[in-house]
Amino acid sequence: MKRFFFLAAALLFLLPPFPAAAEEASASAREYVFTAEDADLSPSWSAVLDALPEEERKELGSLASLPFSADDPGTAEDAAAALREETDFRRLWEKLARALRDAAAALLPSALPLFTSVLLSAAARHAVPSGDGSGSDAMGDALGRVLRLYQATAVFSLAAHALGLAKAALSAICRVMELMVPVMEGTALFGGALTEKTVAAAGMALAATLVNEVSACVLVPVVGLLLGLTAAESACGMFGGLAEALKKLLLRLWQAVTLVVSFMLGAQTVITRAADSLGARAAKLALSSFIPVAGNAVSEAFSALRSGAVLLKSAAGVGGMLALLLLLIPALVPLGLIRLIFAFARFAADALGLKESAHMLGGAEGAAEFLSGFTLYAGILFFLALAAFVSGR
Amino acid sequence: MRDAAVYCGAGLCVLFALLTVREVRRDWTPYLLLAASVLFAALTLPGVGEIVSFARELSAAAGDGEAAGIVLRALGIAWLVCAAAEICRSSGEPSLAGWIETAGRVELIALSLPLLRRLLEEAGFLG
Repeated sequence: MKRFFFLAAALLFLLPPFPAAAEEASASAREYVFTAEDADLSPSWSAVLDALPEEERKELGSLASLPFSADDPGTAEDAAAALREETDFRRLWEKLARALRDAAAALLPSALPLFTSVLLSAAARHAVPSGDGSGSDAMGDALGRVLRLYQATAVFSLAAHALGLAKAALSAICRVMELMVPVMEGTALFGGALTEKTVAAAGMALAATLVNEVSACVLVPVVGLLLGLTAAESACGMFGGLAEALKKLLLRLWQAVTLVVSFMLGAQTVITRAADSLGARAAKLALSSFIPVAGNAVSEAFSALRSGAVLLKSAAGVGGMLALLLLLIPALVPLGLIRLIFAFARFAADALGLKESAHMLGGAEGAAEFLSGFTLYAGILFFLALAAFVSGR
Repeated sequence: MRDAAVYCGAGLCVLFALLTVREVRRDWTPYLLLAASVLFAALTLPGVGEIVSFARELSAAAGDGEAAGIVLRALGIAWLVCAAAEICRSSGEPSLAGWIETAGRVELIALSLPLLRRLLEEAGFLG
């Protein structure tokens, strides 16, 4: 008896048309299909492009001139064609080689005073040694301090360049990610992924703000302080413990930020994907079951629209990833080169017997390593977030 | 090689002269030491000139002639002060040697002030 009632109820529930249920279902389906009308991505995408430097904007090629509008029926095809055209890794490799050449040309004039200071200091140390037990130890020590001051000016000039580069790159990356949020919202809306629109936008905006604030207010200033403490330690033998503690604090802070942001982005990807996939399946079922006669055709149209949305999403996501890469390469290459210059200078100072100078150069190398690490991690984090967004169907 | 032979020969001559003078007129020893220092300084001047001109060339190529000039002047001061203080010590006047060294260190601090200023400017403490 019970089974009979249950089967009857199920049959009644599945049989069209029940006016209230059908209306509700088709409203839900309309929400998934027709919200695309609001999804004009052109202004949002233009804002992302405006945040890029002129040269990097040109590098995006046809991805930069996509209409990204739901009104344009050819948008998805255009996006797919642009994507095929622009994701050419040979061009990225050329960009990398050009960035390396430019960085070498720009940094060589700054590296020369550093190496000259190491050579001159070694020669001067050889001419007036200190700590050899002679009566002129005091004079040798005083000369040693002047020499370290001379080296510190060369080291700081280069380190200030690295600090400026990292600060500008981190700020530009976070700005582009903040501007990508409306683009992501629009593409998610176009595909009917309402949960993704809300959650991904909030998560990405939060992650971009967090990384921007932490890097601008804590990481970059503290790395500058670390450099100052390292120089002070090599000059007067103080603050060594404080510099080490700061280094550990920086590392822990960055680990915490990375953990929080990756957890947030990972969780949001899983949640939104599950919710939207369920929603889309429900909408498709509703379309084919509750709309009389033309239900299957509308359902097929919905599927076609969704695959177009996937193409558009891929174009926007890969466009964002390319924009990130184009911002990261010109910043990371000089930062890596500066680190290499410090490493060579430290090696030279060590070989020439300038222990305190080698220590200072080691500190500068560590700071450059921190800066390039922060920039790289931030780039990878957002790159993966965009990759997760693109891979969501 | 020839220069080294000249330095060694001059050094041995000064040694014999010192030993002889010490036996005859002990109070002349500091003067003889001073004369020997001046002689050795004069002998090394051409070499020092070459090193200084190379250092200047190197720093000019690196575009940092001012800082390198300060370092070379500091080296000259340190060298001069060390020589003067050694002569005072060997003449039995360590306190005078100490004062000369103090004056030299003050001069070095004054000389390195532009470097300190540049460093502070780089760190953003000075405009």
